[in-house]
Amino acid sequence: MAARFPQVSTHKISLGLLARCLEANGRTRAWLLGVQPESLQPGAGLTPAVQNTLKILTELLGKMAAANPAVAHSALSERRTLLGAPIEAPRSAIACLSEKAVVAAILLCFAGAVLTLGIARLKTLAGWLAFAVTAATAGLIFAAVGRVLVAGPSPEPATFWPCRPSGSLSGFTWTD
Amino acid sequence: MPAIGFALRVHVDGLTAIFLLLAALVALPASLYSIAYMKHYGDYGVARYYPYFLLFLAAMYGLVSTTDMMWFFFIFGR
Repeated sequence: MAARFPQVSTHKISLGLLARCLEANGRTRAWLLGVQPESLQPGAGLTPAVQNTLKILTELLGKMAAANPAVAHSALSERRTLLGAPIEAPRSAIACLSEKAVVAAILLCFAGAVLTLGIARLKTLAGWLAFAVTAATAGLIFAAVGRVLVAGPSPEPATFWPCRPSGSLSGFTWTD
Repeated sequence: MPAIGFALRVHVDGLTAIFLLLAALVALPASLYSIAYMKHYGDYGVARYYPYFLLFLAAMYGLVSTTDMMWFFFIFGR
C-alpha cells in the first residue's frame, strides 16, 4: 500500500504513510477496504446495497474477532497506544463543565447588564458592579480554559435550549 | 434533515480556550480602568456604557465558543 500511495501531503496524511505507521511494529498488517456509494444525493442515506454490504462486513469482522479474541484485544490495545489515550465510554455531562462555565459566564454578563442598567444613575457603583461581574465571568472562563488545557476538550459540543421548528423552548439537553 | 431548528451549541477546544482567555484577560483591566475614565464624561450618555460593555463581553464569549451557525450569525449581527 505504501508503494501505491507514497505521497505526503501537508494537509492530510496519505494512506500509504498511515499504513506504514501502523505496520511499523512488525506485527500489524494494514489493508484498505473500500465501499463504493451507490448514490451521493443529499439526504438519501445509505442505499440498500451499501446497507447490505455493511451488514456483511459487520458480521465478517465480528466472526473474526470472536474466532480470535486475543487478536481483537491486541488490536484494541494497539489503537490505544497509537491514539495515546484509552478508549472509554462516552463521558457523562461532567465532561461538559467547560461549556457550562462559558454559558454561565454569558448569562452572568446578561444579568450584569440588566443590573447596571438599573443603577445607571450611580455611575461609580455601576462601574464597580460591572467590574465585579467581569471578574466573576473571568473566573468562570479561567476555570473552563484550565479544564480544557488540563483534561482536554469535551468530545462533543454541549447543546442548550434547542429551538425546534415550532419555536418551543425546552430546558437543557446534552448531546452525549 | 430531521429538523430545521437551532440550539445554542457550545464547545470549548484548545483554540477556543485561547480566545476565551484573551477576551477575559482584556476585559478585566478594561472594566477596572473604565470606572475612573467614565467619571470624566459624566455629561455624556455613559449610563448605557456598562450594560453595553457586558453585552459585548457576553457576545465575545458566545462568538468564539458557539458551533451553531444561527447563533453565530445572531451574536455576530448584534
